[in-house]
Amino acid sequence: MTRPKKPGGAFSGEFLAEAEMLLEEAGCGIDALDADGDDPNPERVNALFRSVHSLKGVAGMVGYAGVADAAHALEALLDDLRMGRVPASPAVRGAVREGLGALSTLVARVAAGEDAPRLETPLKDRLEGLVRPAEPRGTESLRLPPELDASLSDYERHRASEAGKRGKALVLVDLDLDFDSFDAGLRNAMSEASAAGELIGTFPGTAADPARMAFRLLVALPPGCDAAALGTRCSARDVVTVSAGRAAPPPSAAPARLPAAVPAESAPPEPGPEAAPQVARGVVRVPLEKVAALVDLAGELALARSALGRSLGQALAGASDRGARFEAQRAFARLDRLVATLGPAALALRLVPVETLTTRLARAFARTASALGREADFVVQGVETEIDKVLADELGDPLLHILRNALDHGIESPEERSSAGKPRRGRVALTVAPSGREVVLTFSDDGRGVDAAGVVAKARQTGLLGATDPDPSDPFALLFRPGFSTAREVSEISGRGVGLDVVREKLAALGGRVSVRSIPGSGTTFEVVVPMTLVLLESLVVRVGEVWFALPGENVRRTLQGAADGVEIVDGRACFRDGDEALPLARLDALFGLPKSAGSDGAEPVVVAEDGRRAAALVVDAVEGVWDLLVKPLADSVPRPKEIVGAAEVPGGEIALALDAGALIARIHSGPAEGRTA
Amino acid sequence: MTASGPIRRHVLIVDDSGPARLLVRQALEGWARRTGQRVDVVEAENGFEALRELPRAPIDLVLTDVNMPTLSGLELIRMIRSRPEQSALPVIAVSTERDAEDAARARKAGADGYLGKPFDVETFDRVLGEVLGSKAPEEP
Amino acid sequence: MSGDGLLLAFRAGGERFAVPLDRVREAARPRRIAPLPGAPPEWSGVALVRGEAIGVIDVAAAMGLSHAHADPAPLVVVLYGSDHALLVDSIDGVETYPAGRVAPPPPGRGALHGIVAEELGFLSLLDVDRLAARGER
Repeated sequence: MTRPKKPGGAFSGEFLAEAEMLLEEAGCGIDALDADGDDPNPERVNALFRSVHSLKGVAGMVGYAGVADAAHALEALLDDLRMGRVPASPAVRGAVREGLGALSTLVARVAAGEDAPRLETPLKDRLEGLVRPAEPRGTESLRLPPELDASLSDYERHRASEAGKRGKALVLVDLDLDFDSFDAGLRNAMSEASAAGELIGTFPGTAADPARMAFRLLVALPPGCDAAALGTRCSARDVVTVSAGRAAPPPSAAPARLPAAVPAESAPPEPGPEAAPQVARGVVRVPLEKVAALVDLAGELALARSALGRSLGQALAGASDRGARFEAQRAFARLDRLVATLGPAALALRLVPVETLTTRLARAFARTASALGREADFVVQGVETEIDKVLADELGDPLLHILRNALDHGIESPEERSSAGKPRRGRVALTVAPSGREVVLTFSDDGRGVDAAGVVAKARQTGLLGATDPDPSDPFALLFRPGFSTAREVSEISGRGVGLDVVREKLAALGGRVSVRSIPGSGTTFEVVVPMTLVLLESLVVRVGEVWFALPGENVRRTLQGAADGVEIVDGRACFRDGDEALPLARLDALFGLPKSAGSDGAEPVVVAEDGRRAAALVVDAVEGVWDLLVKPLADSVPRPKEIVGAAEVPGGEIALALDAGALIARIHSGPAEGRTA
Repeated sequence: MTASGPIRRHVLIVDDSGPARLLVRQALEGWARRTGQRVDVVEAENGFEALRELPRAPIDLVLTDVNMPTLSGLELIRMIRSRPEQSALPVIAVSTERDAEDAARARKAGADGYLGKPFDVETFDRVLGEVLGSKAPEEP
Repeated sequence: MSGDGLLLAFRAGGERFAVPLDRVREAARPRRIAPLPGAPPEWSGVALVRGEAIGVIDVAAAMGLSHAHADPAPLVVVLYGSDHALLVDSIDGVETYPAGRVAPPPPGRGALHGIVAEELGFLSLLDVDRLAARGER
C-alpha cells in the first residue's frame, strides 16, 4: 500500500463512515465525562482516548493529513488526561469538546469534497492555551508478580497506582478456561470485573494444560467489595490479592442507640402529584411518581427501540439504495446509543443511600431492645451505599424482622450475658456493601447463636423433616421454611403473623435472597443480598401453547431447532446431548402442567439453560425472540410455581412470565416427576 | 522447506476496522508477488477471534492492530507470547505512524516488529523481511 | 368497614358486589392477562398495570358464578393494601355503605363481610383479603 497520491480515493466513503461513527462515539463519551464531573470513570476516559486515536489512524491511512494532525493533538491531550497529567476539570473537558468540534468540522469538509482540509490554527496551539497541568502526585509502588510488573504498559501502571492511592484493592482474577468457549468466559469475566470495579488489564495466566486458555485480570476494587464473590461470578480458578485496599471507614463513633441527632423523618412527606419539586443545596427532591413515570418511559422507549430495530432490519433488507440504507442504519445507531444511555440514567434517579433505610431500622431496634429488656448496640457501616428507593421501602419490613429476631432469639439478657462471660451490652452490626449489581446487607450479632443440630431436631419434631430424611446439608436453611416455628409473632408493623419464611419470600419477590451462618454461643450472621435496582434484562422469550416465558439471556447457552436428534435415554431419564454433556431434559409444558400445542414432535426448539453451576435442556413450542425486557417482580401472594419470579411485557403486547434459571434448572435436575408443582 | 513450489505463508490479520484489514491484506498480497511467495490470509476482528484462530490453522505470521476495544492488541500479543507453542510466532504490531511510544510498548509486550500506518511499500517489505528473516514456515 | 363509609360497587357473574372505596387504587383495562400455570381457577393470571405486575382474581369464578360473555378488554379493579386486582364485568359506581341493613353472609360464601338485600337481588360486600388468602401458597 503506497501512500496514496490523492487523499481518500477508493476509501473516502469508508473513511467518512468510520470517522463519523468515531466522532459520534467520542461525542457520547465527552457527554458522559461531563456527567461524571471531576472524578471521571477511567474506562470512559480510555475509551475516548481510543476513539480519537482510531480516528487519527484511519485519517492517516487514507491520506487526510490535516485531520490526522488535529486528531493527534487531541489524542495527546486525552493521553495526558488518562495518565493523570492533567486534571479532569471543566477547563480540560471544554478543551476536549473544542477539539472534537474542530475534528467534526474537518470531517464535514472532507464530506463536502475538499481534498486536504486543514485547520487555520493548529489544534495543538489552541488546546495548549486551555489546559493547566495537574499537581504531580507521585506513583505508589506496587507489589506485583515480576512477570506481570515487566509487561505492564504505562497506562496500566498509572491506573494501578491510582487505584492504590484511592485505597482500592488490587486483585488478580485467575481464569482457567476451556478452549472451545473461552471467549464467552473471558468476556463474562471482563464485564463482571468492570461492573465490580475497574478492569485495568488482561494478562496471560498459567495454563497447566495447553488445550486450555488461562488469563489473569488485574482489577481494582473499591473498599468493601467482596473479591471472592467476584471470583465466583467470573468462574475464576482463584483470586489473588495483590494489594489490599484501605479498610472501609470505621462505623460511626456513637452507635445508633437513640436517634437524637437524626431528623424526625428522613424521607420527605410525599407531596401531592402536582407539587413542584423542592430545591435545597444542589439537590432536587422529586415525588417518586415522577421518577417512576420516567423510568417506565425509558423502559418503554427501549422496547420500542428493539421493535424498530427489527422492523428496520426487515425493511432495509430489500432496499437497493445503499446510501439511504446507510443513512437509516446510522440514524438508528445514534438512537440506539441514546436510548442505551437513557435507561441507566433514569434508573440512577431512583438510587438513594441506604441510610434512609438504616435510620429507620435503628429507631425500631432501640424500641424493640427496650421492650424486650435487652441492652444492645446497633452499629451500621456502609450507609452511603446506594439502592433503589422502591427497594429501600420494600426492604424495611423483612429487615426489621431480622433485627427483631436478633434481639429476641439472639442477644441474651444482660444477666445471661454476664454469666456467660460476655459483655452486658450485646451488639448487632450491619454492614452494607455493593457487590457487582447487587447490594449485600450483613447482620451479625454476638448473641447465643443457633445450634444446627437443634434446628434439625426441631424440624423433625414438627414434621418438617421426615424421620427417614437425611440431615440437610444446610441446616440453617430450615429456619426459612414455612411451619418451622409454630410460635409466629404478630408484627407490630404489618399486623400479620410473620415468620422467617415470609422474610425469605418477600426478599425473593424483590429478586433477593437470604442465608444464615451461626456459631452456638458466639453469634449469628444473616446475609441478605438484593439487586441494586430493577434493570432491563436481555431475555430469550419462548412460547408453550398460549403461555409466554422469558429466560435471562445470560442463562441461555444456546437454542436449537429439532429436539429429536439430541435426545437420549440415560438411566431411564430423558437427556439432551450438548457437546459431550448429557443434560437432563424436560418439556416446559409438562413441567408446568400446560396444554401442549398440537405440532410436529421432534422439530420443536430446545433451549439449553445454565446457571453458572449446572445446565439443563428445555423443550418449548417456539422461540419468539430476544428482547431487552423490564421484568417486574410478582408479589408472593400470587400463586404460581416457584420458578416463575416476575412478568414482563414483550413488544407486541404479550406478557412473558419471567423464569428463575437457577430454580428451573434445579427442578429439572431433581426428578422425572415433572408434573409436581412447588 | 518444500522442494518445489513457492513458499506459502499463512498470515493472521487482526484489526477491528474492516477497511484497515483490507489495506493490510492488499499490502501482503503485493509483498507476496514481489517476493515470489504465496499468502493465505485469515482475518480476525478482535483478540478473541484471533486467539481462537491461532491453534486451528498453521499460522506463520500475525499482523495485529494495537488499538482495539475490550482485548487490546498489546494484551493479545502478551497472550500469544505466553503460550508455549506460539512463543516463537512472528508478530508484527501495526499502529499509527506518529507513535514512537507505541512501538516501544509493542516490543515490550513481545512484538517482533512494528509497522506504522500508513506504510509505504519499502517499509512494509523491510519489516516483513526482518521479522520473517530466515524463518521458513512450518511444514504443512 | 371503610372509614368514610363509601363503597365501589361493581358487577361480576351477573351479581353485584362492593369493596370499600378506600381500598380501591384504580380501575384499568390491561391489554393482556397472562394465565399463571398451576394457579387455582379463580386466578385469571397476571397483568401489567402502570408498569407493575399484578395478580388478577376473577371475582365471578371465586364466587362460583359464570360470566355472561368473555370480555376482549377485561376490566380490573386494582386495590391498595394487597398485591392483586379484581376482574369484574362492569362498574356500577360509588355508593354509600348501607349501615344497619347488612346481614351476615350465607355459609359457604366465605370471602364476604356480609350481604345486603336490594330491590332486585343482593349486594355482596367482598372481603378482599380473604379472597386472596385462599390463593396463597
